Amino acid sequence: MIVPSRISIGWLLCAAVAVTALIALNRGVDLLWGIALLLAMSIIVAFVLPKLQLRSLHVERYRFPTSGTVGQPLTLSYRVRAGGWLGRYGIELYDTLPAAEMGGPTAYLAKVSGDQTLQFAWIPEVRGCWPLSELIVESRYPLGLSKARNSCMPSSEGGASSELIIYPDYVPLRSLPVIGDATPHAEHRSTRLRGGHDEFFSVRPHHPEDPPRAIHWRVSARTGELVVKEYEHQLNRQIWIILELSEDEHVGSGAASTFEYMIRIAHSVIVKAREDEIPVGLLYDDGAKVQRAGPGIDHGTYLQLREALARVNPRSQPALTSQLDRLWDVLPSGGTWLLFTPRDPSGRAALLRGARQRSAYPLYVEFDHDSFVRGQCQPHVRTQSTAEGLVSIVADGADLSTLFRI
Amino acid sequence: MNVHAPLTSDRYPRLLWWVMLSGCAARFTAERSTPEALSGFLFWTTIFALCWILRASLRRTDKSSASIEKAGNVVALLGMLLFLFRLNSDGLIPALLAFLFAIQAATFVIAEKRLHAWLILAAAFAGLMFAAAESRSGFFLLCAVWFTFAMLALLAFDQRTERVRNTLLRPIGVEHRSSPAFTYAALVLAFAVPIYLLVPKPAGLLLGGMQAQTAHDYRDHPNREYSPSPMDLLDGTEGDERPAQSVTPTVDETLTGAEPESGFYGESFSNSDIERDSKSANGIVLYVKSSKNVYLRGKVYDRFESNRWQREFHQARQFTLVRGQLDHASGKQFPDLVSQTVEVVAQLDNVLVHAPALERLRFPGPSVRSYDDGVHEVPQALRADTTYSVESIPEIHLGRYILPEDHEVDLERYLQLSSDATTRLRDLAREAATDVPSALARALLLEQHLRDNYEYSYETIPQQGFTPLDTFLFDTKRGHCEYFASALAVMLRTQGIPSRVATGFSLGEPNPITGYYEVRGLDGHAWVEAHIEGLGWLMLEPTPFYPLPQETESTRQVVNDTDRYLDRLAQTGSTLDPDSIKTQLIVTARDAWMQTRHVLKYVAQLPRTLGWTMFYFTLAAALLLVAAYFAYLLVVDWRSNREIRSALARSRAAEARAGVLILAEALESAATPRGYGRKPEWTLREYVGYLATTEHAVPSQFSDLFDESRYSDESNHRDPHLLVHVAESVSTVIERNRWPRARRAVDRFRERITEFFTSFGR
Repeated sequence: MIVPSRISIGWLLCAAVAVTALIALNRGVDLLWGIALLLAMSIIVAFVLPKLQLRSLHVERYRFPTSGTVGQPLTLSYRVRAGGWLGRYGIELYDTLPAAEMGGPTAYLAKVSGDQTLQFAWIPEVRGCWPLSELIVESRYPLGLSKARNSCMPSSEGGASSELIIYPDYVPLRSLPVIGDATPHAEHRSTRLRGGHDEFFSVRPHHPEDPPRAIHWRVSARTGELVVKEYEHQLNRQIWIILELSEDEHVGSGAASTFEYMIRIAHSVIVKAREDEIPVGLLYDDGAKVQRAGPGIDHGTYLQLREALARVNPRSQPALTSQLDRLWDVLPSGGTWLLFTPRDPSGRAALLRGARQRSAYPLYVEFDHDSFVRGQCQPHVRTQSTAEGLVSIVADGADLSTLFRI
Repeated sequence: MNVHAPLTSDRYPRLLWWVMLSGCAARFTAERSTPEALSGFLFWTTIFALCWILRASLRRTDKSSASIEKAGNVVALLGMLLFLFRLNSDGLIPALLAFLFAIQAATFVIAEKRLHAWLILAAAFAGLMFAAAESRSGFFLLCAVWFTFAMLALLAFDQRTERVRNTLLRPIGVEHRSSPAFTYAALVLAFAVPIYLLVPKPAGLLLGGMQAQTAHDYRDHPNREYSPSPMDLLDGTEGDERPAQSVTPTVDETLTGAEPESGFYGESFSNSDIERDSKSANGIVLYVKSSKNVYLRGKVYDRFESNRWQREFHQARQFTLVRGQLDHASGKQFPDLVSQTVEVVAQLDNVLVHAPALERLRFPGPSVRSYDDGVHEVPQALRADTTYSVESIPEIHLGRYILPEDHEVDLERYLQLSSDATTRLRDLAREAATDVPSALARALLLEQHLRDNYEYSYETIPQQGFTPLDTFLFDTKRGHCEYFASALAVMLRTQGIPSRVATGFSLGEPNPITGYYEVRGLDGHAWVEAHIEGLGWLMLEPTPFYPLPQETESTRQVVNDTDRYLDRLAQTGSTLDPDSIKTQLIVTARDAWMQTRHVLKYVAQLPRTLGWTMFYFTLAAALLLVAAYFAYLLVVDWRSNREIRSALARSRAAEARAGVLILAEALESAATPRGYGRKPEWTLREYVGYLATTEHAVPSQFSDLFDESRYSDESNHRDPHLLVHVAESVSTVIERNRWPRARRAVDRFRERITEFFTSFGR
């Protein structure tokens, strides 16, 4: 049987009305007039009702969260004020949340009447930053034959936030091989065992995570603020994450793109580095200039790095390897660099060469672009140690917790 | 909408079930017999319930889709068998309807996607359409409303599911299982019902021919080989082998040597018939769809002898119907064409009843005999489940039909008088129609005389066919329609006006919902046709029980029809069985309806009656109400201010601790109506702090003083300056706004007005 895949219910009802009315007119059957009338009224009311539904209806965000994390549930509240005594049915709410791919409304309010606060659960699937501008309210109730649309400006009451930021999620890494790897506590102990012969580099402000023994009491007493000693040996123990934002270097879409994998890996490395008390910094070229955040192990630095990861987006700009000169100006010497290797082998070689010149230990992630394009999932991350450094090959669907684990 | 979308929610089966059930209920309102209707409805309800159980069990046991499809096929196969069975036993339409239900049941078992739901909906709708054409019961409309609710609930729920499917956010807590379709359907009904009640419906165009069908064989001699079957005649394709007839669309006219139809009126009645008839007189014998309320004329009697009417010899012509159709094709153009479709419910005699002056007839039989007085006979008695239709062209004068005479008629026979026409009867006729030269006027006067001075009584029915005129006119003065018709006919003859008694059915009142006239046993009727020179045979209605024909029929509105229909039902019930519960219920319903209509009409006419008086009265009442409201607010403000001032005076006179407390109370009483109320959770200190931010600030030390007075046991030292200062502050609060409630009401009123005009402009 040949059946069209899509049928318009409005036309079907109109056809039913026409057929019924014609038969009723010809045969003069009152009952058929009754049916035709019921059907015709169903259509007319279904056309008019959406317009009436949105009269005296106002929706606003209520105690809206300002941030969230991918994969973690958020509670979103909307306050609805419906004037009049009639309830409102099937109100569709379109908020500026990352839902464009779904093609449906942000929220569906089955029935509202009077003043109501409605709560919804949401698990963000993509990170990013969205301006919380006006809310769009639509109604197609009851049959979707017509649509009414209104926009509700956000209320200025209660200092409502103007944006919602969704931070990337992370995967707990099992290992993060860096140069001079050890905890600050162990490092301090080993420094003492070495008889304090490590070369003193400088002092820096104290962070709550720093061991008390690392505090430079004399300078602290002089300056009135707690400071800790840093040795040259320790300075080398830091990790720099260098992001590639050029959209030409990435494939895939949404959460299954190499770009989002890069962000997730970067976030995972930052978290792991904080656990291991390794200072971590972030470097990326936003088109205008090379942005640098960190390094540090304190919570403030972490928040700064996380926010940067939430806000970056792929850009139409040249690959990082073609901007190496600008990059070298801001990159420190030594430490461990997390690199996301470009698709172009020559660019990759240039990047590794630069790392060697700066005495840095490169950890680099190579994406299996084919798997992202074709959507072929491979759960395992292949990690191999090469002359240039440690390389992990990541495919779509890979278990990132085994990153950099041979 | 994507027809392949899955039916994910568990509410779909329930909604589909309601659709099927409501369609089924509507279909069985077409059954004439209540037990048949109930048993059919119960049968299919059980089948649908079993299908639901089957559907649920198949899914609960995780059967594969192939198994589910197989189960559906089995149900469909059973449906096919049922179709074949009913095709043989009941004919095509009942078989098709049964098959439609079977399709619904089978689809319900396998329903997985939207296409299935729509298939069920379409099948149920098709069944509903069939039922609408067949049903003659007002309950159908209730079932149609039920179906509408079910259908709209399904469609609205489907739309909702479609929209929710791609929604980003999920509601927290129990999902609101509201029924949005209820409001929708209620709105639909709120608009549809008044339109159905008030807007007149047009008469049927009847394109494609008039209706005629039967399950019986109306042939004279069914065994004769050349006689086509009635259905063949209707089809007109095979069976009629006579070439001249097969191409002629109307008639083959043959002169007959038929015996003249004669006999006494009512001679076929027996006592048992009468008893049966009196019990079931209110039973429906005919359903008639008629474009005008014209009596169904059957047999006509012309000779009155020994208080009995009989029918004398009349010329008859035998017409063989071709394709079931007879067309007199008189070529006359009359504006008063009456189209009627008559469905026979109970067996009658072989005389066709129809509006007089028949022009076209469609009857499911082979032939019809036509008499020169406009009577038509079929070969056999009319049996139930026979439908025929006619188009007649009577002339309508003052609401009464007139039969023009086409040929010379021997009027002498219609002036025949027997010895029953006693002298005092002649005198009575002369007195009633005194000094009027016109035959028409005399006839109408005699008719009016009988209507005004005699009473209708159903008790005389056992004397059917026998009408002792003298007794009726001068002694009992009570009788049924035959008495009145006989009396008028004889009285007209005494006045030299040719007359005859026509029998048949009064149409009564149409069922306001179905539009069909429900002709009952009691509607069997006799009336008079008087020959008026220059006009023809004029119908006269002497029986007061039957309303006089109206000159112009009012527009056919369901509400008006309901008036008349209920009134007629109540009147008939009261005549037949006044003590029965059914009659009481009908009378109660009629009275309630009439009272409601009366009240509504009165309310609707009230503004027109009162005119400007009403307007000024309303305006004055509104102004008075507003003034009273403001006066009340002013009084409340005045009393409140007086109490506060009195409290201030008391605080000055009271001892220290009590004075502070009185002052605190006065402060709150003064500030609250002015829009600076104290929230329940606030302490006085917080309240004073709040007042400090407003124009009604009081010294902040007052809260310390209050706390000491309220909570400390130590005797505090009254600070007279502070208390005076606070009292002055309170007085200032009052002075700044002496009429806070009234002023607020004015402000609110102004805001509303502004808001209204703003929204109006927008």
